[in-house]
Amino acid sequence: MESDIELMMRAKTGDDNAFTELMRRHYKSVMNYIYRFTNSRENSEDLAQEVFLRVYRSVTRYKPEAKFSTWLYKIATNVCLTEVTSKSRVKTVSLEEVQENTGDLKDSNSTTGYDLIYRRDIRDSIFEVLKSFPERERISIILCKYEGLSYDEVAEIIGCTVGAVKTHVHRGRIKLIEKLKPFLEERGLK
Amino acid sequence: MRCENVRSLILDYTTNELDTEDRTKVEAHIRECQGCNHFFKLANNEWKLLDEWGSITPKADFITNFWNRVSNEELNNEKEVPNLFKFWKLNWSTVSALSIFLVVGIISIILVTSNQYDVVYTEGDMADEELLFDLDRTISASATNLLEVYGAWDIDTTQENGG
Repeated sequence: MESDIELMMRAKTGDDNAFTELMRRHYKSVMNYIYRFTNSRENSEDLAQEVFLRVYRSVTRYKPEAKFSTWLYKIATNVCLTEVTSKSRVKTVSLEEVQENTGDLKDSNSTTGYDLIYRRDIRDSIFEVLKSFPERERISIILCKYEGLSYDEVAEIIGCTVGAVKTHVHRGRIKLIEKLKPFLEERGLK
Repeated sequence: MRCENVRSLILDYTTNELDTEDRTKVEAHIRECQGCNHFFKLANNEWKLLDEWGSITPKADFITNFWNRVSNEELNNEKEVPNLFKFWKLNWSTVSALSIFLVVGIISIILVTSNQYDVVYTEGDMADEELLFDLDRTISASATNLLEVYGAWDIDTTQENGG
């Protein structure tokens, strides 16, 4: 299987199939990364397309110095930050939208109205807490927890040391524990 | 071990980032310290709670939509170029009119200023002109003919001769 860099080099020569393959590999993670910033499926899809559009436009300037995914997440981060700073969306959500927006359910049996609302509450609470974080804390938590990136990779994306990323994650987690206490205690302290 | 230091290790413990030695230290501490034990349970639950915010699955036509968007952008870019020329075309008429006015204006200024430079009009000339007007007013055509016999003359001589 061709590496991302090889595909990118092919895309650089105008090979759109190579670019399609790159997109196929990464669009789910990019969209989910953006989703943690916007908490809206519709916006996430639009913005994920914007990310790939930026990549496509700058494909000729790509230099294979860094890992492709790191470069991709950098662009996605810029798009997310521009979005969250330019727009603060307040939206009322119907039950259908909750179902649509809650994300894939791990347990398909627990799709009752109560479960959906409970899950929406958890999702909205996590989103609101993360939203209140300083940029780097928020990005570090999202990339480490939801995108499964290492501290080294996150450090490269946000341009700081590995130690700083670890500090951001720890600080963020302590705040999350503090602010999500009602949910944590409700789940029982086993 | 101080609780403050253990709490940082507890966070790493819940994400499986500790080596065996540190794991043993943390386990020993939380068995004895009730506060850290509580924090351990909260931290453990918190990391798991974040998983409750599930991921989303993009629509199947994501890639198709992307290429459509690229095509639309390219089409729009192509449209923008003729529009630009159209805009320029509109402006060309204005620019042409302005240029004509400018050229005519420059030529007029040059003509006027060049005429001014050709005339050397001194105070003496002005006095001569005044005398000529006086002559016109005072001397009749026949008298002028009579005076021609004296050849070239100036006003002083004329006045003396006349007196």
